Amino acid sequence: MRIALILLISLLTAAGALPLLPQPLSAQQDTRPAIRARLQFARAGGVYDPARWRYTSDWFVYPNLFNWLVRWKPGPDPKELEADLAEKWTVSPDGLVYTFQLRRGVQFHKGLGELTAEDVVFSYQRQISDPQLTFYKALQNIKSVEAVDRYTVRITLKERDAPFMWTVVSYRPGLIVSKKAVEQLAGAFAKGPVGTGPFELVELTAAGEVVVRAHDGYFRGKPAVRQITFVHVGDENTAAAALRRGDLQIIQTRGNPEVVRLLRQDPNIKTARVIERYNLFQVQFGPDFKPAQDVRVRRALAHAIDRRAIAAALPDLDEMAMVMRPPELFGGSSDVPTYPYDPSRARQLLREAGYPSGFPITFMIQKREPETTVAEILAAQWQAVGLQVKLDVLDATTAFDRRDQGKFDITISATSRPGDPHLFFWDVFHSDAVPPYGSNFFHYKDSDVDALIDAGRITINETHRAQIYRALQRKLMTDLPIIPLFYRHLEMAWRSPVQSLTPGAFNMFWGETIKIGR
Amino acid sequence: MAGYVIRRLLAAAVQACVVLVITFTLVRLTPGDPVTAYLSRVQSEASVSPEHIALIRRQLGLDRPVVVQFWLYARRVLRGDLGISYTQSEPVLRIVFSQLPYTVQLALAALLIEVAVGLPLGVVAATRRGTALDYLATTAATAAYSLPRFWIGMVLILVFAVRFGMFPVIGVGAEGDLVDIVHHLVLPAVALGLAGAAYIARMTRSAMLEVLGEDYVRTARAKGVAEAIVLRHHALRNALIPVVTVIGVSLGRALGGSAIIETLFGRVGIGSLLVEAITQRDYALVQGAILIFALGVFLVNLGIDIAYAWLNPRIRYT
Repeated sequence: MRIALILLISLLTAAGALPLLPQPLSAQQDTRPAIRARLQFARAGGVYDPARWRYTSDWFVYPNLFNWLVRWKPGPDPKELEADLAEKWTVSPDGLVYTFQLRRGVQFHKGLGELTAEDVVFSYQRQISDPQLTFYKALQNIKSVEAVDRYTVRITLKERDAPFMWTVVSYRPGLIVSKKAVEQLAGAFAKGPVGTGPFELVELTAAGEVVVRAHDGYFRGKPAVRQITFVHVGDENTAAAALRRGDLQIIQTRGNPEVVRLLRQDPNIKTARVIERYNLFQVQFGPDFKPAQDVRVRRALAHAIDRRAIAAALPDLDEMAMVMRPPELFGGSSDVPTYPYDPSRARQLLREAGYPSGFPITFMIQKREPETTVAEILAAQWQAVGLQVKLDVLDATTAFDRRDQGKFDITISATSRPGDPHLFFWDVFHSDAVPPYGSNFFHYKDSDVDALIDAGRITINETHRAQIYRALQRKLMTDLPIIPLFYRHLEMAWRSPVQSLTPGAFNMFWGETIKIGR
Repeated sequence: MAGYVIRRLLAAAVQACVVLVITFTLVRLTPGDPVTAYLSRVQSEASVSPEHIALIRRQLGLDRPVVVQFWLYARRVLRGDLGISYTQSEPVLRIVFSQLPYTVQLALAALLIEVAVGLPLGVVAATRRGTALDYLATTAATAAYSLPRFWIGMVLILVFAVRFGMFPVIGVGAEGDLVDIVHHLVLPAVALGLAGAAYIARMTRSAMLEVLGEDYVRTARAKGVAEAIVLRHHALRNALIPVVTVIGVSLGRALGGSAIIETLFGRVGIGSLLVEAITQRDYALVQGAILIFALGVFLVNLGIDIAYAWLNPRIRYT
């Protein structure tokens, strides 16, 4: 028993000897609740300088710390832009000069004063001039950024760029930082960033949490919560259990049907289903997979897919996709060829392509839901039309690596490119977007497609652009370099004291939309 | 004794070198490239160019031949520098040491449960041999030993956290708040320690049975020594020797098992850190964490060997 005693003492000593970290400051007399949220699926990057953005999953924190000149309107399917730091803006008729009028009186965190045009110019300039920063290349179409006066900023482009407001100004490269803070803190800025957002960073704890506190000088008004702690929980079941017990007040899940069902049954929990119609799950073909180079084979595989079986396996979680971009989004269209479930047509196409007895497919997937479930269903459906399908289940990093190198026959994965259609179409189908430049994993090369994508970028007239994307989709759905499967879904769930919130696109989290109450 | 400890420490250094080589090699044999992993997560579709990739590769030292990479790495390690984690942009040593206390807490708490539950259970089973209590204890131990830790953890969460609300599901507790830290430790420690407790119970039972059959125990009983004293002084102390070895192995296993338990209970620590580092192919972090981990296990084993002497003065170190 002495051993047990010694162990107990050592345990207590070890626990007591933990380094004491600075405790989050709590505002005096502040009765607003502090909440804990699990939003990202990966551990946080630990670096919160937008110019050194590390992980896509860090979307959960950036919109709370910083603002853009113009932002996507909070919501799951960003269709329009709204004023953020800029009250209004104009674009020159030739589409090259963008002039932004800043809101007056916007305050930076930590008493660093009012935002001026200088800060905006600095935020863009520093990224344009340093190739080591994350968005260096994304900003290279900018010829100049100038402060016209204290509250006016002018950005001049080298060539026309219709999606510029979506891909730069309101997207990751466009977050505005405090010039004074970057100059004073230098390298330490990434761990103690200063923006104008509704929350300011308090600390990154040794326990891996990101703690942010209400910025009461926020120009849209005081946030309803005093503090938000972003917690990393890797396992979805654990996160759901923590929400049910009240250890967490907000969680986001990636659509494990069992978890979602459990949460919806709990009377203390509110849930919101967030369909992201720009977030497309698709079948992708490997560039060296010979059978897929014949369009008849790609069409045969598409006709062999019964989406009802997928919908049944992912009950009301995901919305099936027959087209690449749905008509309710700008640049979307339903006036395109589609490939409904028709196994006999699939067999016929395979015969015509010279594969009467099928061919072997190594189907590479990531080991996570819903990919594994969907892959099992697809494999069975393709086997039913005479193909020999073998599943190759890999961890995400290995799968990414093989995909980027083109070492696979067939895979499924999601492409999430919110906002302007150019992002998605260029990234997946342009011949310049072969990895590492983009996500054209099929190494698809079609001069007509390239021409349409390029025309979509430099055409300023919205009606003309929409026509271009309709034509592009018709061409793509005829040629079928990918097979659209379904649009991704996320589930947000929360409990008291959170009464409501607006879910964001991507993993974006809008802490300012939280409302408190029963 | 001092000579023995020094020799053991030297041996541990050699073992650490072997671990270093094996980890370095294994990490590089794992498919998947750290730069791809990094870029896939940034997804900065418009900013990736071969120059950018070459730059990252150069910064990570991945543009040099593997042998050179190893030589540079080994030289740095000897100077006590485990490199910089590219996912967290911080020195590996600082990251590992910031996470170590959480895993040590968990491992010790699990060990406490193993010993506190396993030892008495084994003693009771041995002294009540053949009774219903013995069968119950043995069956429970066999069951607990066969169940996966992950499953035990899920059940504990559903029953004691969600259903009865007795314990928190996630986290490590507030810094410096001992009660809160222990509150957060209970479920993960039980999940981690239950299998070990079962093993210790079985070991203790058979060791006790063996010792209870020895002549000196019979002599003590014949002399009229109270049964409690016979058990404690004559039997248990001798039965503990093999059990202590098991405890040493258990602690090593608890450190290893922390990867699953920390992930399940949303705890930080070396285990969950290692899982993340492996998925992100953060070479420096994986190598550093495993090295520190291995050194920890060596030290534990050394401590166990020294504890032998305390339990059995007949053991001499040469």
